[in-house]
Amino acid sequence: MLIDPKVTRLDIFNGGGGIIEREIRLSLNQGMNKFEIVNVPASFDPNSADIKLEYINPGDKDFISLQQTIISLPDRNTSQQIIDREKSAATSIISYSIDFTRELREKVTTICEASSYRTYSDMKGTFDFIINAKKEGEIIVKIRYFLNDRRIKWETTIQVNLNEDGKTAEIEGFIVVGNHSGFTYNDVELGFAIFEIPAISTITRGVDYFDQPSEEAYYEGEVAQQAMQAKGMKRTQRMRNLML
Amino acid sequence: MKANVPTRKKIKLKWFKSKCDFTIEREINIQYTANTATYNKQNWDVIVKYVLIKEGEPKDIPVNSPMTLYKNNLPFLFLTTSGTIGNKIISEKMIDDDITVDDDIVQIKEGKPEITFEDALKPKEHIEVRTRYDKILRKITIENKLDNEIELELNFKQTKDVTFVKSEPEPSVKEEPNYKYNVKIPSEEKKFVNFELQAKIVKRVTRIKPEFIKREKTQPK
Repeated sequence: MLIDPKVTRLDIFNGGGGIIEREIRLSLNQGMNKFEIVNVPASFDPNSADIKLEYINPGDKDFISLQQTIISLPDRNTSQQIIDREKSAATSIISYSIDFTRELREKVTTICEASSYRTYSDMKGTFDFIINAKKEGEIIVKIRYFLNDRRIKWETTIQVNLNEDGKTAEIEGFIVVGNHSGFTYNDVELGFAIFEIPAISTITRGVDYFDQPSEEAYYEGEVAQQAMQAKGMKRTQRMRNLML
Repeated sequence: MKANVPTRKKIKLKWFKSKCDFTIEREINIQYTANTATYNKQNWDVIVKYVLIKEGEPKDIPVNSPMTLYKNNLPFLFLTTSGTIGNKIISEKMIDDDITVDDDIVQIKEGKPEITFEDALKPKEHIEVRTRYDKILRKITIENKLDNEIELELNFKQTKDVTFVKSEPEPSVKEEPNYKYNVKIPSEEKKFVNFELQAKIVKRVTRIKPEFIKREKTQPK
Protein backbone atom coordinates (compact mmCIF):
# COMPACT_ATOMS: atom_id res chain seq x y z
CA MET A 1 0.00 0.00 0.00
CA LEU A 2 1.36 3.42 -0.97
CA ILE A 3 1.48 5.93 1.85
CA ASP A 4 2.65 9.55 2.01
CA PRO A 5 3.40 10.35 5.66
CA LYS A 6 3.36 14.07 6.42
CA VAL A 7 6.71 15.69 6.99
CA THR A 8 6.32 16.96 10.54
CA ARG A 9 9.82 18.15 11.30
CA LEU A 10 12.82 19.19 9.28
CA ASP A 11 16.15 19.84 10.99
CA ILE A 12 18.39 21.58 8.51
CA PHE A 13 22.20 21.67 8.71
CA ASN A 14 24.08 24.83 7.81
CA GLY A 15 26.53 22.70 5.80
CA GLY A 16 23.65 21.23 3.78
CA GLY A 17 21.24 18.36 4.30
CA GLY A 18 19.23 17.57 7.38
CA ILE A 19 17.03 15.16 9.26
CA ILE A 20 13.45 14.54 8.21
CA GLU A 21 10.71 13.27 10.46
CA ARG A 22 7.45 12.04 8.97
CA GLU A 23 4.36 10.70 10.64
CA ILE A 24 1.21 8.81 9.61
CA ARG A 25 -1.66 7.00 11.31
CA LEU A 26 -2.26 3.59 9.73
CA SER A 27 -5.01 1.00 9.92
CA LEU A 28 -3.69 -2.54 10.02
CA ASN A 29 -5.26 -5.78 8.90
CA GLN A 30 -4.51 -9.04 10.62
CA GLY A 31 -1.36 -10.55 9.16
CA MET A 32 1.44 -8.90 7.20
CA ASN A 33 0.89 -5.28 6.17
CA LYS A 34 3.30 -3.92 3.58
CA PHE A 35 3.61 -0.16 3.08
CA GLU A 36 5.58 1.81 0.50
CA ILE A 37 6.49 5.38 1.43
CA VAL A 38 6.27 7.80 -1.47
CA ASN A 39 8.25 11.01 -1.96
CA VAL A 40 11.43 9.71 -0.38
CA PRO A 41 14.27 11.51 -2.14
CA ALA A 42 17.23 9.52 -3.46
CA SER A 43 19.39 11.73 -1.27
CA PHE A 44 18.13 9.98 1.85
CA ASP A 45 20.67 7.98 3.79
CA PRO A 46 19.49 4.33 3.82
CA ASN A 47 21.59 3.50 6.87
CA SER A 48 19.99 6.20 8.98
CA ALA A 49 16.41 5.32 7.99
CA ASP A 50 14.48 4.50 11.10
CA ILE A 51 10.87 3.58 11.87
CA LYS A 52 9.21 3.79 15.26
CA LEU A 53 5.75 2.52 16.10
CA GLU A 54 3.60 4.49 18.50
CA TYR A 55 0.78 2.39 19.89
CA ILE A 56 -2.57 4.14 20.15
CA ASN A 57 -3.81 1.33 22.34
CA PRO A 58 -0.99 0.32 24.74
CA GLY A 59 -2.30 -3.25 24.74
CA ASP A 60 -1.38 -3.59 21.04
CA LYS A 61 2.32 -3.73 21.89
CA ASP A 62 2.24 -7.53 22.11
CA PHE A 63 0.25 -7.94 18.89
CA ILE A 64 1.72 -5.38 16.49
CA SER A 65 5.39 -5.24 15.60
CA LEU A 66 7.65 -4.00 12.87
CA GLN A 67 8.89 -6.97 10.89
CA GLN A 68 11.35 -5.31 8.54
CA THR A 69 12.24 -2.30 6.42
CA ILE A 70 13.20 -2.51 2.75
CA ILE A 71 15.42 0.28 1.53
CA SER A 72 17.09 0.97 -1.79
CA LEU A 73 18.37 3.84 -3.90
CA PRO A 74 17.84 4.17 -7.65
CA ASP A 75 20.71 3.23 -9.96
CA ARG A 76 22.90 6.26 -10.63
CA ASN A 77 23.57 5.58 -14.32
CA THR A 78 19.94 4.91 -15.22
CA SER A 79 18.81 7.94 -13.25
CA GLN A 80 21.37 10.10 -15.00
CA GLN A 81 20.15 8.90 -18.40
CA ILE A 82 16.57 9.82 -17.47
CA ILE A 83 17.67 13.24 -16.20
CA ASP A 84 19.67 13.90 -19.38
CA ARG A 85 16.70 12.95 -21.52
CA GLU A 86 14.42 15.25 -19.56
CA LYS A 87 16.87 18.11 -19.92
CA SER A 88 17.18 17.54 -23.63
CA ALA A 89 13.38 17.48 -23.97
CA ALA A 90 13.17 20.77 -22.05
CA THR A 91 15.74 22.35 -24.37
CA SER A 92 13.77 21.13 -27.41
CA ILE A 93 10.53 22.59 -26.06
CA ILE A 94 12.15 26.00 -25.71
CA SER A 95 14.01 25.81 -29.06
CA TYR A 96 11.15 24.62 -31.25
CA SER A 97 8.21 26.44 -29.73
CA ILE A 98 6.98 29.15 -32.08
CA ASP A 99 5.12 31.27 -29.62
CA PHE A 100 3.98 31.15 -26.04
CA THR A 101 0.93 32.83 -24.71
CA ARG A 102 1.46 34.47 -21.35
CA GLU A 103 -0.01 31.64 -19.22
CA LEU A 104 1.66 28.91 -21.25
CA ARG A 105 4.99 30.66 -21.09
CA GLU A 106 5.04 30.61 -17.29
CA LYS A 107 4.00 26.96 -17.14
CA VAL A 108 6.60 25.89 -19.69
CA THR A 109 9.28 27.93 -17.92
CA THR A 110 8.47 26.25 -14.61
CA ILE A 111 8.62 22.76 -16.16
CA CYS A 112 11.84 23.47 -18.05
CA GLU A 113 13.52 25.07 -15.05
CA ALA A 114 12.55 22.14 -12.84
CA SER A 115 14.08 19.69 -15.27
CA SER A 116 17.23 21.75 -15.75
CA TYR A 117 17.84 21.79 -11.99
CA ARG A 118 17.06 18.11 -11.53
CA THR A 119 19.82 15.92 -10.19
CA TYR A 120 20.12 12.38 -8.89
CA SER A 121 19.02 13.61 -5.43
CA ASP A 122 15.61 14.54 -6.85
CA MET A 123 14.93 10.97 -7.96
CA LYS A 124 12.89 8.75 -5.68
CA GLY A 125 14.32 6.23 -3.28
CA THR A 126 12.58 3.13 -1.99
CA PHE A 127 11.60 2.96 1.64
CA ASP A 128 9.12 0.15 2.37
CA PHE A 129 8.28 -1.54 5.61
CA ILE A 130 6.26 -4.50 6.80
CA ILE A 131 4.22 -4.53 9.99
CA ASN A 132 3.11 -7.81 11.45
CA ALA A 133 -0.26 -7.60 13.18
CA LYS A 134 -1.80 -10.48 15.08
CA LYS A 135 -5.07 -8.57 15.15
CA GLU A 136 -6.63 -5.58 13.42
CA GLY A 137 -5.74 -2.20 14.83
CA GLU A 138 -4.45 1.31 14.36
CA ILE A 139 -0.99 2.61 14.87
CA ILE A 140 1.05 5.79 14.44
CA VAL A 141 4.24 5.30 12.42
CA LYS A 142 7.10 7.75 12.83
CA ILE A 143 9.75 7.74 10.12
CA ARG A 144 13.09 9.47 10.36
CA TYR A 145 15.98 9.69 7.91
CA PHE A 146 19.01 11.83 7.12
CA LEU A 147 18.96 13.87 3.96
CA ASN A 148 22.33 14.02 2.26
CA ASP A 149 21.53 16.91 -0.03
CA ARG A 150 23.68 20.02 0.14
CA ARG A 151 21.11 21.95 -1.88
CA ILE A 152 18.98 22.41 1.21
CA LYS A 153 20.76 24.45 3.85
CA TRP A 154 20.53 27.54 5.98
CA GLU A 155 22.67 30.53 6.70
CA THR A 156 22.36 33.49 8.98
CA THR A 157 22.56 37.11 8.16
CA ILE A 158 23.16 39.77 10.80
CA GLN A 159 22.11 43.38 10.63
CA VAL A 160 23.67 45.85 13.06
CA ASN A 161 22.15 49.31 13.38
CA LEU A 162 24.62 51.59 15.12
CA ASN A 163 23.30 54.19 17.51
CA GLU A 164 24.55 57.76 17.44
CA ASP A 165 26.82 57.30 20.46
CA GLY A 166 28.83 54.77 18.44
CA LYS A 167 29.08 52.46 21.47
CA THR A 168 25.70 50.75 21.39
CA ALA A 169 23.71 49.18 18.60
CA GLU A 170 20.66 47.11 17.79
CA ILE A 171 21.39 43.70 16.38
CA GLU A 172 18.94 41.69 14.29
CA GLY A 173 19.52 38.11 13.21
CA PHE A 174 17.80 36.33 10.35
CA ILE A 175 17.89 32.76 9.15
CA VAL A 176 17.78 32.26 5.41
CA VAL A 177 16.76 28.77 4.32
CA GLY A 178 17.62 27.85 0.76
CA ASN A 179 15.85 24.87 -0.70
CA HIS A 180 17.20 24.10 -4.16
CA SER A 181 16.03 20.51 -4.04
CA GLY A 182 13.00 19.30 -5.96
CA PHE A 183 10.94 18.74 -2.81
CA THR A 184 8.58 21.11 -1.04
CA TYR A 185 8.00 20.94 2.69
CA ASN A 186 4.78 22.60 3.79
CA ASP A 187 3.85 23.52 7.33
CA VAL A 188 6.81 21.76 8.92
CA GLU A 189 8.43 22.36 12.29
CA LEU A 190 11.85 23.71 11.42
CA GLY A 191 15.01 23.10 13.37
CA PHE A 192 18.47 24.40 12.59
CA ALA A 193 21.78 22.80 13.46
CA ILE A 194 25.39 23.72 12.88
CA PHE A 195 26.68 20.61 11.22
CA GLU A 196 28.30 19.47 8.02
CA ILE A 197 27.62 16.02 6.62
CA PRO A 198 30.98 14.30 6.09
CA ALA A 199 32.05 14.26 2.44
CA ILE A 200 31.38 11.05 0.47
CA SER A 201 34.35 8.78 0.99
CA THR A 202 36.59 8.04 -1.95
CA ILE A 203 35.64 4.36 -1.72
CA THR A 204 31.98 5.09 -2.39
CA ARG A 205 32.99 7.21 -5.36
CA GLY A 206 34.62 4.17 -6.87
CA VAL A 207 38.20 5.27 -6.26
CA ASP A 208 40.48 3.10 -4.24
CA TYR A 209 41.68 5.13 -1.27
CA PHE A 210 45.07 3.48 -1.32
CA ASP A 211 45.60 4.50 -4.93
CA GLN A 212 45.53 8.13 -3.95
CA PRO A 213 49.04 9.54 -4.28
CA SER A 214 50.08 11.17 -1.06
CA GLU A 215 53.08 13.45 -0.76
CA GLU A 216 53.57 12.51 2.87
CA ALA A 217 53.95 8.87 1.95
CA TYR A 218 57.36 9.68 0.52
CA TYR A 219 58.74 10.97 3.76
CA GLU A 220 60.40 8.54 5.99
CA GLY A 221 60.91 8.53 9.72
CA GLU A 222 58.71 8.39 12.71
CA VAL A 223 57.87 12.09 12.86
CA ALA A 224 56.65 12.16 9.29
CA GLN A 225 54.57 9.05 9.91
CA GLN A 226 53.00 10.52 13.03
CA ALA A 227 52.22 13.73 11.20
CA MET A 228 50.63 11.74 8.40
CA GLN A 229 48.50 9.79 10.85
CA ALA A 230 47.37 12.97 12.54
CA LYS A 231 46.49 14.50 9.18
CA GLY A 232 44.44 11.49 8.14
CA MET A 233 42.62 11.36 11.46
CA LYS A 234 39.05 12.53 11.61
CA ARG A 235 38.26 15.64 13.61
CA THR A 236 35.35 15.72 16.02
CA GLN A 237 32.31 17.48 14.73
CA ARG A 238 29.51 17.80 17.23
CA MET A 239 26.11 18.90 16.10
CA ARG A 240 24.97 22.12 17.76
CA ASN A 241 21.31 23.04 17.69
CA LEU A 242 20.29 26.64 17.47
CA MET A 243 18.16 28.05 20.24
CA LEU A 244 15.19 29.61 18.50
CA MET B 1 9.03 27.45 14.41
CA LYS B 2 6.65 26.28 11.67
CA ALA B 3 7.15 27.35 8.07
CA ASN B 4 6.72 26.38 4.43
CA VAL B 5 9.89 25.52 2.58
CA PRO B 6 9.02 25.54 -1.13
CA THR B 7 11.18 23.92 -3.79
CA ARG B 8 13.85 26.10 -5.43
CA LYS B 9 13.09 29.06 -3.18
CA LYS B 10 14.76 30.88 -0.31
CA ILE B 11 12.85 31.85 2.79
CA LYS B 12 13.96 34.41 5.38
CA LEU B 13 12.93 33.96 9.01
CA LYS B 14 13.30 36.34 11.93
CA TRP B 15 15.68 34.88 14.49
CA PHE B 16 16.40 37.45 17.18
CA LYS B 17 16.52 41.16 17.84
CA SER B 18 18.26 42.74 20.79
CA LYS B 19 20.40 45.60 22.00
CA CYS B 20 24.15 45.23 22.15
CA ASP B 21 27.35 46.97 23.14
CA PHE B 22 29.54 47.80 20.20
CA THR B 23 33.32 48.00 20.39
CA ILE B 24 36.06 48.30 17.81
CA GLU B 25 39.32 46.52 18.59
CA ARG B 26 42.41 47.60 16.68
CA GLU B 27 45.87 46.14 16.96
CA ILE B 28 49.27 46.41 15.35
CA ASN B 29 51.61 43.41 15.61
CA ILE B 30 55.29 44.13 15.23
CA GLN B 31 57.99 41.51 15.05
CA TYR B 32 61.46 41.67 13.48
CA THR B 33 64.08 39.29 12.27
CA ALA B 34 67.79 40.15 12.32
CA ASN B 35 67.36 41.13 8.69
CA THR B 36 64.12 43.15 8.82
CA ALA B 37 65.23 45.04 11.93
CA THR B 38 67.74 46.91 9.77
CA TYR B 39 65.34 47.90 6.97
CA ASN B 40 65.17 51.63 6.31
CA LYS B 41 61.39 51.64 6.16
CA GLN B 42 58.63 49.21 6.90
CA ASN B 43 54.84 49.40 6.94
CA TRP B 44 52.59 47.56 9.30
CA ASP B 45 48.88 46.93 8.95
CA VAL B 46 46.36 47.91 11.59
CA ILE B 47 44.09 44.93 12.16
CA VAL B 48 40.55 45.80 13.14
CA LYS B 49 37.70 43.65 14.39
CA TYR B 50 34.24 44.52 15.65
CA VAL B 51 32.94 43.00 18.87
CA LEU B 52 29.25 42.99 19.74
CA ILE B 53 28.12 42.01 23.22
CA LYS B 54 24.50 41.14 22.93
CA GLU B 55 21.84 41.33 25.63
CA GLY B 56 19.69 38.29 26.40
CA GLU B 57 20.45 34.65 25.79
CA PRO B 58 23.48 33.71 23.66
CA LYS B 59 23.00 32.80 20.01
CA ASP B 60 25.28 30.37 18.24
CA ILE B 61 26.02 32.16 14.99
CA PRO B 62 27.97 30.08 12.46
CA VAL B 63 31.32 31.42 11.32
CA ASN B 64 31.40 33.38 8.06
CA SER B 65 27.83 34.60 8.45
CA PRO B 66 27.40 37.86 6.56
CA MET B 67 27.04 40.92 8.79
CA THR B 68 26.09 44.41 7.63
CA LEU B 69 26.71 47.49 9.74
CA TYR B 70 24.26 50.37 9.29
CA LYS B 71 24.82 53.98 10.35
CA ASN B 72 21.96 56.44 9.98
CA ASN B 73 19.99 53.67 8.22
CA LEU B 74 22.64 53.40 5.51
CA PRO B 75 24.92 50.38 5.15
CA PHE B 76 28.55 51.39 5.62
CA LEU B 77 30.38 48.11 6.15
CA PHE B 78 29.93 44.54 4.90
CA LEU B 79 31.80 41.86 6.79
CA THR B 80 31.43 38.34 8.15
CA THR B 81 31.45 36.81 11.60
CA SER B 82 34.46 34.86 12.80
CA GLY B 83 32.77 33.24 15.78
CA THR B 84 30.73 33.66 18.92
CA ILE B 85 31.81 33.23 22.53
CA GLY B 86 28.74 33.29 24.77
CA ASN B 87 27.07 36.63 24.14
CA LYS B 88 30.07 37.97 22.26
CA ILE B 89 29.79 38.13 18.48
CA ILE B 90 33.16 38.73 16.88
CA SER B 91 33.63 39.89 13.32
CA GLU B 92 36.37 38.76 10.96
CA LYS B 93 39.68 40.63 11.15
CA MET B 94 40.31 43.24 8.52
CA ILE B 95 42.99 45.75 7.62
CA ASP B 96 42.08 49.28 8.63
CA ASP B 97 43.20 51.54 5.80
CA ASP B 98 42.34 54.70 7.72
CA ILE B 99 45.18 54.18 10.18
CA THR B 100 48.70 54.15 8.76
CA VAL B 101 51.79 52.82 10.49
CA ASP B 102 55.25 53.83 9.30
CA ASP B 103 58.27 52.18 10.82
CA ASP B 104 61.55 54.00 10.11
CA ILE B 105 65.10 53.32 11.15
CA VAL B 106 66.70 56.05 13.24
CA GLN B 107 70.13 54.68 13.99
CA ILE B 108 72.19 51.50 13.98
CA LYS B 109 75.17 51.19 16.34
CA GLU B 110 77.19 48.24 15.17
CA GLY B 111 78.64 46.08 17.93
CA LYS B 112 82.16 44.56 18.03
CA PRO B 113 82.17 41.21 16.22
CA GLU B 114 83.19 38.15 18.18
CA ILE B 115 84.84 35.49 16.01
CA THR B 116 84.48 31.77 16.62
CA PHE B 117 85.09 28.77 14.38
CA GLU B 118 83.00 25.75 13.48
CA ASP B 119 83.94 22.60 11.59
CA ALA B 120 83.23 22.60 7.89
CA LEU B 121 82.42 19.60 5.70
CA LYS B 122 85.90 19.52 4.15
CA PRO B 123 88.75 18.86 6.61
CA LYS B 124 90.91 21.63 5.10
CA GLU B 125 88.19 24.22 5.71
CA HIS B 126 86.45 25.77 8.69
CA ILE B 127 83.54 28.13 9.16
CA GLU B 128 84.29 31.53 10.56
CA VAL B 129 81.35 32.70 12.64
CA ARG B 130 81.20 36.46 13.22
CA THR B 131 78.65 37.37 15.88
CA ARG B 132 77.88 40.92 16.82
CA TYR B 133 75.14 42.66 18.79
CA ASP B 134 73.84 45.80 17.09
CA LYS B 135 71.84 48.49 18.84
CA ILE B 136 68.95 49.53 16.61
CA LEU B 137 66.73 52.55 17.10
CA ARG B 138 63.40 52.54 15.24
CA LYS B 139 60.54 55.02 15.22
CA ILE B 140 56.94 53.92 14.76
CA THR B 141 54.55 56.61 13.55
CA ILE B 142 50.84 55.88 13.80
CA GLU B 143 48.51 58.27 12.01
CA ASN B 144 44.77 58.38 12.60
CA LYS B 145 43.03 59.61 9.45
CA LEU B 146 39.56 59.10 10.90
CA ASP B 147 37.30 61.89 12.13
CA ASN B 148 37.11 60.40 15.61
CA GLU B 149 39.54 59.43 18.35
CA ILE B 150 40.71 55.83 18.32
CA GLU B 151 42.28 53.44 20.79
CA LEU B 152 44.57 50.69 19.64
CA GLU B 153 46.95 48.12 20.99
CA LEU B 154 50.47 47.92 19.65
CA ASN B 155 52.08 44.55 20.28
CA PHE B 156 55.80 44.12 19.98
CA LYS B 157 57.04 40.55 20.16
CA GLN B 158 60.74 39.97 20.58
CA THR B 159 62.38 37.10 18.75
CA LYS B 160 65.53 35.05 19.31
CA ASP B 161 67.51 37.46 17.13
CA VAL B 162 65.90 40.80 18.01
CA THR B 163 65.35 41.61 21.67
CA PHE B 164 63.74 44.55 23.39
CA VAL B 165 66.02 47.01 25.26
CA LYS B 166 63.75 49.97 26.00
CA SER B 167 61.10 52.15 24.47
CA GLU B 168 59.59 55.60 24.63
CA PRO B 169 56.84 55.51 25.91
CA GLU B 170 57.23 52.57 28.28
CA PRO B 171 55.06 49.55 27.46
CA SER B 172 51.67 49.38 29.22
CA VAL B 173 52.06 45.64 29.77
CA LYS B 174 55.38 43.79 29.85
CA GLU B 175 55.11 40.01 29.51
CA GLU B 176 58.24 38.67 27.86
CA PRO B 177 58.43 38.18 24.92
CA ASN B 178 55.40 40.45 24.48
CA TYR B 179 55.37 44.21 25.06
CA LYS B 180 51.99 45.91 24.78
CA TYR B 181 51.22 49.59 24.30
CA ASN B 182 47.77 51.07 24.65
CA VAL B 183 47.70 54.03 22.33
CA LYS B 184 45.03 56.73 22.08
CA ILE B 185 45.13 58.89 18.98
CA PRO B 186 42.85 61.88 18.47
CA SER B 187 41.36 62.47 15.03
CA GLU B 188 43.86 63.38 12.28
CA GLU B 189 46.81 63.22 14.66
CA LYS B 190 49.96 61.15 14.94
CA LYS B 191 51.48 59.22 17.83
CA PHE B 192 55.01 57.86 18.06
CA VAL B 193 56.63 54.86 19.69
CA ASN B 194 60.45 54.71 19.73
CA PHE B 195 62.12 51.34 20.13
CA GLU B 196 65.65 50.55 21.17
CA LEU B 197 66.39 46.99 20.13
CA GLN B 198 69.32 44.65 20.15
CA ALA B 199 69.81 42.51 17.09
CA LYS B 200 72.07 39.49 17.01
CA ILE B 201 73.80 39.51 13.63
CA VAL B 202 75.57 36.29 12.71
CA LYS B 203 77.65 35.93 9.54
CA ARG B 204 79.18 32.65 8.50
CA VAL B 205 82.02 32.37 5.99
CA THR B 206 83.69 29.12 4.96
CA ARG B 207 87.47 29.56 4.69
CA ILE B 208 90.50 27.38 4.09
CA LYS B 209 92.32 26.77 7.38
CA PRO B 210 95.47 28.99 7.62
CA GLU B 211 97.85 26.03 7.93
CA PHE B 212 96.70 24.69 4.56
CA ILE B 213 97.04 28.06 2.82
CA LYS B 214 100.73 28.20 3.82
CA ARG B 215 101.40 24.64 2.70
CA GLU B 216 99.89 25.33 -0.74
CA LYS B 217 102.12 28.38 -1.14
CA THR B 218 105.32 26.45 -0.36
CA GLN B 219 104.57 23.53 -2.64
CA PRO B 220 106.65 23.65 -5.90
CA LYS B 221 104.73 23.52 -9.18
